[in-house]
Amino acid sequence: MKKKALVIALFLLLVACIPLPLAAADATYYQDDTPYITQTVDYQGNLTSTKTAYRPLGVFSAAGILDDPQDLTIDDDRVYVADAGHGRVAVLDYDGVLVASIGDGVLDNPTGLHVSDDGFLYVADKALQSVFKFDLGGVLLETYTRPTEPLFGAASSFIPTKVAVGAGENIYVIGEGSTSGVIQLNYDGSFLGYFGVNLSNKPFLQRIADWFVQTGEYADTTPPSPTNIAISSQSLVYTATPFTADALKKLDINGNNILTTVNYNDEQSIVDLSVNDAGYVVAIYDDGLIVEYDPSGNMLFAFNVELASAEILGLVRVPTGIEIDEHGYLFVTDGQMDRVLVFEPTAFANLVHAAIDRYNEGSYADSRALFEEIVRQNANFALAHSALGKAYYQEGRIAEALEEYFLANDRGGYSETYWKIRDAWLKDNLSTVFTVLLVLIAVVFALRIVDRRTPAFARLHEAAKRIGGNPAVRRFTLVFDILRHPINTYYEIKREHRATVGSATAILVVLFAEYLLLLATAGYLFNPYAESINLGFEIAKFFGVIGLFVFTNYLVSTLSDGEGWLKDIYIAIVYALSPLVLGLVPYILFTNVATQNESVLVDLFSGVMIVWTAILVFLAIKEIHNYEIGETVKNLLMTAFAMLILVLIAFILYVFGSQLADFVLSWLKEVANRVFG
Amino acid sequence: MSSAKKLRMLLATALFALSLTALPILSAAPHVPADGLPQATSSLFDATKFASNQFTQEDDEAVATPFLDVPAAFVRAAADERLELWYEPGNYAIRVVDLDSGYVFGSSFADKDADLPNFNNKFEGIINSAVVIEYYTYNAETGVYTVIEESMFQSDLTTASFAAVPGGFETAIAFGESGIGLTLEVTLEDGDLHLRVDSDSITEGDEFKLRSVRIYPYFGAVYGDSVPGYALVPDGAGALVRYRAIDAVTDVYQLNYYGTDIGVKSDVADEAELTLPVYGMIHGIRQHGFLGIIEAGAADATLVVNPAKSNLKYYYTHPQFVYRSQYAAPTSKAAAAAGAGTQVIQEERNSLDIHLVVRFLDGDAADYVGMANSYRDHLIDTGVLAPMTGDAPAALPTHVELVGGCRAEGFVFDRTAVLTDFGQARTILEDLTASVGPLAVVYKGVLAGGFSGAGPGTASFERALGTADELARLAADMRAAGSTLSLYADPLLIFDATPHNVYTDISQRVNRRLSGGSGLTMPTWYAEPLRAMERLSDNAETWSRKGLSDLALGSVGTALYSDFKNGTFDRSEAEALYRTTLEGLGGSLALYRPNAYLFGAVSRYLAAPVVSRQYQIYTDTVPFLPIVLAGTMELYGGYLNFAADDTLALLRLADFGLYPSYVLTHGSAYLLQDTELGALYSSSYATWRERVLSDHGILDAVLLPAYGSAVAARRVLAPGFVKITYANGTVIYVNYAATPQADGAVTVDGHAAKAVTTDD
Repeated sequence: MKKKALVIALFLLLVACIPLPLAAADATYYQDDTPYITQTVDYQGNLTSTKTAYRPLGVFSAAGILDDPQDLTIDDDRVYVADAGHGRVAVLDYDGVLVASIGDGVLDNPTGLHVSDDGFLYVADKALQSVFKFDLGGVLLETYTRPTEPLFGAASSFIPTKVAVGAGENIYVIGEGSTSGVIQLNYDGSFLGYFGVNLSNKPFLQRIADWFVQTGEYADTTPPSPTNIAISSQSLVYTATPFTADALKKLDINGNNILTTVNYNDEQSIVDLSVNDAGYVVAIYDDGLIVEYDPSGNMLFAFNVELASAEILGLVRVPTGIEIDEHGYLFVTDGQMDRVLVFEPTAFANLVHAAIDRYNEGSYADSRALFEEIVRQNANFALAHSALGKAYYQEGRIAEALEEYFLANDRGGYSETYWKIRDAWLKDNLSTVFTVLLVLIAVVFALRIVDRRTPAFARLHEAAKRIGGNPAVRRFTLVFDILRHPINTYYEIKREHRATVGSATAILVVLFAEYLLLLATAGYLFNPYAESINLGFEIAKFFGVIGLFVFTNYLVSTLSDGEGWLKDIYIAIVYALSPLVLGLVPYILFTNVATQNESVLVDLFSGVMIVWTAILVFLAIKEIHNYEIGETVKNLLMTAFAMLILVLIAFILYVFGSQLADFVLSWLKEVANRVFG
Repeated sequence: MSSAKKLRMLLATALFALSLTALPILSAAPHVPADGLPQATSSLFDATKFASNQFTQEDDEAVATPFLDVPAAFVRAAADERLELWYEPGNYAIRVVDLDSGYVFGSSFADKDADLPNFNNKFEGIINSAVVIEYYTYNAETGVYTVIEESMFQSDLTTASFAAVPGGFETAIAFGESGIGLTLEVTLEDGDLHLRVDSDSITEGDEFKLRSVRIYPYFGAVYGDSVPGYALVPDGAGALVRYRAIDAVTDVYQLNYYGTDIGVKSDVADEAELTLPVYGMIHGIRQHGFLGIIEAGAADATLVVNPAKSNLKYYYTHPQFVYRSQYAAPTSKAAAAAGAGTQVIQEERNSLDIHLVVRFLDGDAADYVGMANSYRDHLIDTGVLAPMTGDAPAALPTHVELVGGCRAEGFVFDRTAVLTDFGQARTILEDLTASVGPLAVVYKGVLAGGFSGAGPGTASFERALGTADELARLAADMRAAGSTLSLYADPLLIFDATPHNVYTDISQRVNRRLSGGSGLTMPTWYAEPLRAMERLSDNAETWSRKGLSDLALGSVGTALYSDFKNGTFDRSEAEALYRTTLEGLGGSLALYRPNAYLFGAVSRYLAAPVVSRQYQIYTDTVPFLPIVLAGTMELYGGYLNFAADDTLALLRLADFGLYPSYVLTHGSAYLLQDTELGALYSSSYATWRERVLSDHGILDAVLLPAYGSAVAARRVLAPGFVKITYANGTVIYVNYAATPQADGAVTVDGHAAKAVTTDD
């Protein structure tokens, strides 16, 4: 579990660092003819190219109808636009013709709106600090102003920017500056409470910093506030909270998040989100990125409609709202260009939706053909591979399921499938395995009896003893001895010079080879490493860390009466790594047959190796320098500290050095440009 | 787990005997559910869609009222049987009179627009000036260069001499303010207007340096929608800017012919693709118009397109020739990254001679089809293009791009991911040739190291794919079967991980930095042109000796950049170098969206665009480029692997006369993830075969009858319903709409195309 968390954390870090990839010069011919590239998620969780999901159809609203549109909602093929600049709600039909205007003279700066299932239009007006309820004919029925209940909070302001209405006329209001969550009102305007409260997500360092400040000096702990809201036909509330890892939330009736999504754009603010009847969520960020998630929270598509330089069909200058209608079309309001754009789902998007719908209905077999078609059209669509894995698994096509799970990098599914394969293998072969084992045991037993009763193997024993006694061999068998009698062995190493620098180096090289083997061949389920490594970097890392430790320890020990020479320390530390030298190969073998069910055992295995090594390092330092336990602890702490300092110094030297070089270079270049240019 | 087991028991009957890997290569079409695969959505927004600039609009055929005449002050300079050329002594404004129709095109305005607040003298001067220049002034205190515009009316000191030349006149203009001088020649030749400024005639003082030159910038300008018609922008497939009263768009568009010079400016985004050096305007659709062809100087030209807007209600379009660019010479790494640094201007002037040919169109020829055919005729007359000869093939040719190998990261060392070896290529190609007929094959990633692994000098083949002999035999067999197998190479793009020499192989920008960009997984560099072309010739010879003389070249068709490694090697020089090198290659040549100066060397045009950059200023997308090239070479569209809407993609091919293209591999595209070909996500032949066959069936029936023919006319009969008439009498109808549409007795189903051949 810890490993999984680590992998996820590393992955998130990676995603945060990798900007959306640029298309290679040559790859432009591998794109569809839309002004943007559409991406989906690949096996590593990174964004990768896919077929266009939504194609720009054009400008949907005729010029001059809208001024600064801030939000839109669609009901019964009527598009309601919060026409903020005109202080009204513009109602357009699907031909883009203005068919009605609601709230003229009532509204001032409408920024959010929603049509409830009962057929009433709710409008949040930021300037008037009210929420208005109209019937669809435009008659004003109700005005909701700041709740008077003490629970609302005396200091809380009521500046509604967005509004959504659920079943039973539960009114959810997003208020500007309202940090307590979504304001929930009853149909009569009475305050029901705050909903979907976000937790403060202060960074770790900030929390540590908080320990050192006095009361009142704490950094701001205000939790991030949702900035937009959408409601599904099942009255489930979705909120958008910018700049957080789980920016999109689906809240149950108690306000708890029940959707896990990955935020691929957490540097940017989510402007609006929309959810359709089937549960697909679309959201648009202020940099123009539109993302679509499936009902389970998997990212399906991402494409950026930002208008960079010139004005291009299908691109948006200032996105203010997004809506997905029941036919699957996307509508985006552009607050600066004063218009609404329409995007049409392509055949590919429809295919993906159909496959996911059937999968979510539980018709895995039905969905299989569709997912196969998706994979045909995009071999890198990880979600489809994962779903195919599941479908094949359900159909008993285990080998194919394993392949698909592998292509999707779906370790959970892979583990389950692999377990099944191993289970079947064991069932088929267990009797054979046991037979072989029993025979082997019997043979060993018999041989021992023979050995004890007859001198048949005497010469073998002698030879073994002779070879074992050879100092050259002895240097290496110490690796075994040190596990059983560490203190005695260190005595041998220190006083009798049983080990040499050469033997230690040989062991270290073997360990490095094993390390590379681990990186290359550890079981897929337990191998979160990259598929390719930089050999030079690995060498530097491996030998660098050990070398730095040995060297620093020598420096520290000379100051604190340690007896060990540099050579002694080196040899002792290398031999202390014996548990790893002996354990890594079995560990690698084990990871190749274990499933996630046995991950505890795998962790235990690695834990034992590491703890054992740590103990041996401790003993090595103690024995080599002839320290007491307290001294050893002190020595190790000082070594760690000194290592840190050395690394810091090296880093500072590097930074200053390159800065200096850059400065001198730029000075020379400027002189060259000004004087000789 | 237990519920999963139960389900497994329930579904156990669905167990298939075949596993994915065991499937035979040719029968892996996925099982399609009874109700079919989901298709593109309803036609809910068809009105919006067809009114957008992705489609061609219906024409307003109203009669254009002439609004210019030849004022009394003008003098006739020349005349032939079609045109009369008049000029105004002193300022050399011109009028061109079409003798057939009497319609007058002019470079100056008789009456100025009274409601223009900014219509001051300076501006009026610019509008009416025969030549408008821009020059740089330098402020030593701020270190800033400023660009100043100067017309012939700007200064009283400006002089313009007159000399009669055969067919017209010549004027030496000395600009009074900047002290810059140049000679403009205006002549009528063979019924066309020719405008020339020789580089040698340009003189500059020490203080002010020339930036740009525009000739008769407002020639043919239209006031708002006073005249029905449009301006042509050769962006992508082709775009039109129809005249409207006031355009919602307020920008002046400046689009670089052949793209931005990345040797000078590196941050380029959303750029228009102007591969044809033309511009033009129509006054009254199928009534009057002109097409401007930049015969020389296009490499340093920008197309200026101005829509009517509240402060200047004129539509006009003209090329602007840039002699010097301004750039930031970075003084530090940080400055280089931010694009900052000392502002400097290019020291040497670009060595361009300006030569414009303006061809006048009238009657039915005065529309975008007429413009395209006029340009086509011009290219044929000048020997650049030639109509295809010989019989049409038995079936419509298909372009197949095979991917051999691609460099991929291995555990420690790079490896070559093998997608299609030579044996597998043979299997695929033989099967396809048997089912769809002739193929234009491009084999990518066959050089040692595979795609993005082969260095600029690599001529040998990747051993993991097979032997050179095997490849040569395959090429020979394909040739015998009426197909072509071209070797893919990219002489200009150097991938960082390949063996190359940074000091000699890579081009330098004007700011002394290496010319390059970014691939999916590594930096990419642009090659130093002279060395790259030398290598290309050498390699081509090597390959030719092995029996592989047909080539498909990446980048060189589109990339045009100045190199400042050894002095200045500007775009005009690069253009000439590429042209001579490519024309000197032995075999046939396929290029990807090549610029017009390479048309003479091209046998096959690949990845033809079907859209433009879709700037909001455009009102239409038209197949201008395909019509120019129709009947002179085979044109292939973009790869259908990546089309999200198959129907739309096929209809566009049928409409534009483009042949189908696919990327195919033996192995799964999955193997290309995390490589430079990572954008290639679907290519496995086993899964694409059925589609190739069915698409071919559809397009073959529509396009084969028109093979080798020029386009005579193209009309939009109703939104989304197009009729294309070919010179050989074939008529193709394309119906993008969901509902059936009819033209007389011909009915075309929704989302369908149809060819009607007449016997004449």
